[in-house]
Amino acid sequence: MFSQLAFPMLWAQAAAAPAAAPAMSQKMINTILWFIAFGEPMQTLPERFGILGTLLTYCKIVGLFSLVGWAGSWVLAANKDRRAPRAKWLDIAALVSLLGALSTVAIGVLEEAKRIHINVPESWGVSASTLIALPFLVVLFVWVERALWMTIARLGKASDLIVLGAVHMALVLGFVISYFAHTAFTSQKFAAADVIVAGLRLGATYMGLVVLLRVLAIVTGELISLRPRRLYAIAKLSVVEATRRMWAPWVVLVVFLVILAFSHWFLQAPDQRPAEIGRLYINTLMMVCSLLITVMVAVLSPISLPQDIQNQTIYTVVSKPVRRLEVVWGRMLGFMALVTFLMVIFGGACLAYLWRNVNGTIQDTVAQADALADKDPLRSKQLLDQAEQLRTKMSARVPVRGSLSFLDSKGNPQIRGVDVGQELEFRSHIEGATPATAIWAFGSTIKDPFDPRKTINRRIPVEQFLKAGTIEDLENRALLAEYGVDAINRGQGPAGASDSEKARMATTASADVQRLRTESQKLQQQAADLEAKADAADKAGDKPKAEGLRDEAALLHSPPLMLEMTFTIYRTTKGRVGEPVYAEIEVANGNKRVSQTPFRNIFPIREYYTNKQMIPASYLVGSNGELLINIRCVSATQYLGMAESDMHILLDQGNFALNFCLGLAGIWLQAMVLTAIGVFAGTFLSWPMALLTTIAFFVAGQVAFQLFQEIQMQSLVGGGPFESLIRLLTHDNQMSELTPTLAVIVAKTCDALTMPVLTRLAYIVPNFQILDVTNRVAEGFAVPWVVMLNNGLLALGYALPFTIGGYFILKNREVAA
Amino acid sequence: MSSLTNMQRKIIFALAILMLFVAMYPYKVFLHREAERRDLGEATIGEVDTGSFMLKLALLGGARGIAANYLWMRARELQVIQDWDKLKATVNLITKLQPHFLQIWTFQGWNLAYNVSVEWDAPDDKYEWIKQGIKFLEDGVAKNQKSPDLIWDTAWTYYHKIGFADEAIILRRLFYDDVDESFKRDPIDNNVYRDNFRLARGWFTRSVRLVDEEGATRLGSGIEKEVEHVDAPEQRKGRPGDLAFRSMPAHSQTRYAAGLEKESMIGIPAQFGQVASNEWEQALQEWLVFGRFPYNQPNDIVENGKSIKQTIFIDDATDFPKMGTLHPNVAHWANRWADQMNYPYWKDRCSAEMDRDGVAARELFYEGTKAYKSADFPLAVKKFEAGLRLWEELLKRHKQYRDDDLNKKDTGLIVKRYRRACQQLGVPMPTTTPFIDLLKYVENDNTVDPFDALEMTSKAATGPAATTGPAGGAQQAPKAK
Repeated sequence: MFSQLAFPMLWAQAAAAPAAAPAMSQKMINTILWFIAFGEPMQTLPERFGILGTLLTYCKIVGLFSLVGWAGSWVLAANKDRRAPRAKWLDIAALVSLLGALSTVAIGVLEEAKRIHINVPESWGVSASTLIALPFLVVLFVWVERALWMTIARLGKASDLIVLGAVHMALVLGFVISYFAHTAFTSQKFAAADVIVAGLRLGATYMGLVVLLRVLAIVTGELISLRPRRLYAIAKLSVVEATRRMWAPWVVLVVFLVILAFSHWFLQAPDQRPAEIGRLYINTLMMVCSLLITVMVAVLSPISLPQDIQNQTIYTVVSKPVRRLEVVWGRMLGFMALVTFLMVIFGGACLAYLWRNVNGTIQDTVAQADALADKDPLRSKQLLDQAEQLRTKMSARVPVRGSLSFLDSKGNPQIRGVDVGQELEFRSHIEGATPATAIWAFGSTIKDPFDPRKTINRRIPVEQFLKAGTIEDLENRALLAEYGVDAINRGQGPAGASDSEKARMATTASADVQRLRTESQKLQQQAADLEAKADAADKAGDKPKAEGLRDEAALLHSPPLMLEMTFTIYRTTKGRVGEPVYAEIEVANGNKRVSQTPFRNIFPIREYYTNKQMIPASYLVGSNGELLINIRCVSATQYLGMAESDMHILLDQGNFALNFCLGLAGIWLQAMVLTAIGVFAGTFLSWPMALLTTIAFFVAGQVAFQLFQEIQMQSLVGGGPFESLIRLLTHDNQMSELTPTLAVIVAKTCDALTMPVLTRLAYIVPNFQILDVTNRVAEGFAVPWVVMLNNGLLALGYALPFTIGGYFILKNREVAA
Repeated sequence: MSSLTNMQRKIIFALAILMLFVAMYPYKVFLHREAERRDLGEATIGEVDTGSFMLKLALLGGARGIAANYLWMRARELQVIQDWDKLKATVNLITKLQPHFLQIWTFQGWNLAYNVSVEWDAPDDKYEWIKQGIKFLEDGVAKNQKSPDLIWDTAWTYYHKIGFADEAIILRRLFYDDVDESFKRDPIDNNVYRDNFRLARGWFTRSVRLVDEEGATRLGSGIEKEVEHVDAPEQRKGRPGDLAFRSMPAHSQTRYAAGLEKESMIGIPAQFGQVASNEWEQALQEWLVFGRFPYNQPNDIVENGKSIKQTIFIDDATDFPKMGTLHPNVAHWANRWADQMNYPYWKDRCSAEMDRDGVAARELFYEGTKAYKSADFPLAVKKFEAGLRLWEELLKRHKQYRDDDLNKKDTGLIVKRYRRACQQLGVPMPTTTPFIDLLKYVENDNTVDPFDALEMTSKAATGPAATTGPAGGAQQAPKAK
């Protein structure tokens, strides 16, 4: 790639005047940019294109893999085809070239280690090893080309020939675009090596896209002839097979129940602090479900097809008019039906288990607290706190989050607070008894603290917080209508409306304001009356009646906002023994036109507990969803630690059972991806190999995905697997330079050969962990539907190519082997 | 073989299997006997835990090390991200995998009680985590009943983490109020105590007894000599000559007795009279047990070409006539060790404090301080005056205690408070006041006693008392044993 052409820079250059290339028009430049966006595998569209960029990248990657698959299958066909005249000398040359190309890697390593030096003029822009490799690569290219042309010409259909032609045109297009991009965006003189390398990259992607189109065409044709009846039949077959052959669902169920029955051996409930039981149980149950389901799927799906082929039962299937895609997808459907069935049972059992244990614990804790209320009020309060924490975790809270920025102890705005030197850098701190403030801002156009040019949307959904028909709701609507009238009076108002229309709108709005105000005043009067009656009842000593009246009065208002906070404390001195650190909260309506004294309160912070504060709903009246919440630390010399997610306004407690099911759905998605991989592996491997492959994929996706990502980002220190092995054995650290001994050179060469493969694994190995939403469920936060949708798409994005790959393999292989 | 029928072949295999089993049997018996002889059976080391057994079975033994390693790393990560409860759960899992690996219990018990507790701000949360740490250690003791180390660690956490923390006055009160009896049950006499120092004494005693009774055989011949370990378990506590180890029961009892005579738990008034006197007497007994333990001399003495064995009693150092008759080497070590442990001071202090006059004087000081803090200066002056007179008379009989620096400071502070009370009253302190010469030791000492709620809370009436619950002496005082 052009060294200085980072893609974001390209877009920025395109927006500015093209100073470097006055000869080229803006339109031309834009066209080239689009071509690069489609062709450069490492770049995608800027953020403003939204999901399109992601989709494009996805297509490019799938396209590249399709290209490899397509070329590979034809080359394979060429070698299998005994009738074709064989050019023996070319085959031998290709083999020699392959070995030669691999050995040039060693030359590259030696050169890098400064063990050898081959002089190449710098102006050529290439290293010696590349130069040596070039003829080998040319021979290999010719060999592949010959195989492709010969085989497709003889065996392929007209459409294959068209694809072959299109692929070559795509390659040429890559070079052309590369050349133009070079002249458009670089002021340096022409460098052939740069243009060729970039051209190859672009060309390969275009070729991939061409092949992808071809694949899509075939799959579309197949989709049209897909019949639900046959899919159902295959699905049913695989369910029956799984049940009959391995008793799989029953085994899994029994194991699950056994684990559940003896869970107290491992969980040690009585020792746990009650506050945490819920989280511990949810995490454990989810882990058990996930483990059992994935193990079942990992064993069942890869062995089913190979065994069919081995037992020759597949003959009866394929000799019927069943399409190969139906064989693959039908199996997927069957296994997923099994998974769904088990999931439903697991979900029910888990919920019942949680209900019994956690709710039981809540009740026990509360009962214990009540019993201790007189004897040990402190412990009693502590237990009640724990029960409350447990209840908080056993919900599906929907938080409304603001944007956090800070004022330092001199009152200057800052992005982060003070770092007190904790290993966990997630939170930063504000100093007590100074102007240091943590500011959570809510609203539709909040300045992004990290980039003041950008705005972010953190609006509070006022409509959902203010209950319709209550005093605050009426006041809010009246104020909004009033602003509308003001706007019209100032000469603004809806665009395109005539003056008379505007005047009419202003009159109706004014009438509205009047009406709403009257209604609100009526309700306020009513509330005041009720309060007065309650006071009277209090005086008369009738407590229940007073409470009833106060409840009635409260119903006329919108319920207060619940703020939930989890702050940490950092003490520089012990302070007074036993005295908590206090925080001050100040809540102000974000709308400056509303004159309202900010809400203030000082409260003790309890570390690692969810601290709660109630804010009257009146602070949302006329706010348009804008609110400012300031937190200061009151206790001198102490610090309060916080991160953006440490405070939110609670919109809804949500439904825990539903949330738990969403958590299980995450496991379901994992199972789906794994099934696809299993079925895919089963299409071309014998069952032991397929089983191992599937397990390897699963383990890699669960454990090593981050590692693959690091390899891909080249952020891995200490070299590849072989070099790491040497470091491990010689107790060398990751940073030290290794002496270029023979072993080191060999290891580095092996690394240079394996790393490109490992790098590509980041695209194939599914990121299982991202599909897992257990932690969110266990923390008592609702899993948003948009996350589920994203995860669903991601899972499909993994599963579909695998199944389609499986389809092509199954289609092209001889099942009657 | 081809001439054999299928059936015959099956019978031959079955017989071979049977024979192997039979041949295995004597070996199994031998192994079992050997394990018993070397004290290696699971059940003899400690309690067998079903969960642990199942987990080990599930991992088929071999993967156990890898799993335990992973869990250690995970525990460390969880500590960094401050997920304390998951840390506890993870640590529990490690102990399931390696229940007889003592360092896990020692390290993680300490980690929970000291490092995790300190991360929580509220004293009751701290207490909760200290308790988790202690219970974890007790669990370790249950599974490794022959380790004096773990017992000592448990005792130390009761003694030091609850009793010497900055929040000790609150933590001790929380312990006092704790309804969990199993947590407060003494391992020696099985009684429930409401004072952590008293309980620590029981645990320390248990550790000392184990070293004396079983430890010698097990650690001497069992682990160290006959069995070859890759990582031999090392006994840290109770090695020969570990004086500090043996002194801990006495120290805890002394702390307990001293704690009784002040408001060492917030809101619990001090106790005097026979109760306090008895506890001081117990403390004296513990010191005598320590002082009369026969130690071997640490050096080689060769007399007349023969190496001789000598026994040293620290208590001899307080018996001057006897010292004159002892072998110089024995006298040297008795003196040296007594000095090292400040034994004469502790012994004499206990005898003085258990005296009726001693308790009475302490009571007068306590009441004087209370009067002083509540601005009743005439009463304070009266109480201090009476107390100091009594104290002077008593200490005339306990010169060792009187002349020790610790006491000089302790008594000096009382005189200083007396002077302040006089100043508040507007009268000069009489020049005949006993111990007036000790004032010079404490003139610049303005620290308060962190283990006395009377001093700690008077600084701020709204302080801890307001946040930690009911102050006042309505609660029943601990039952003295």
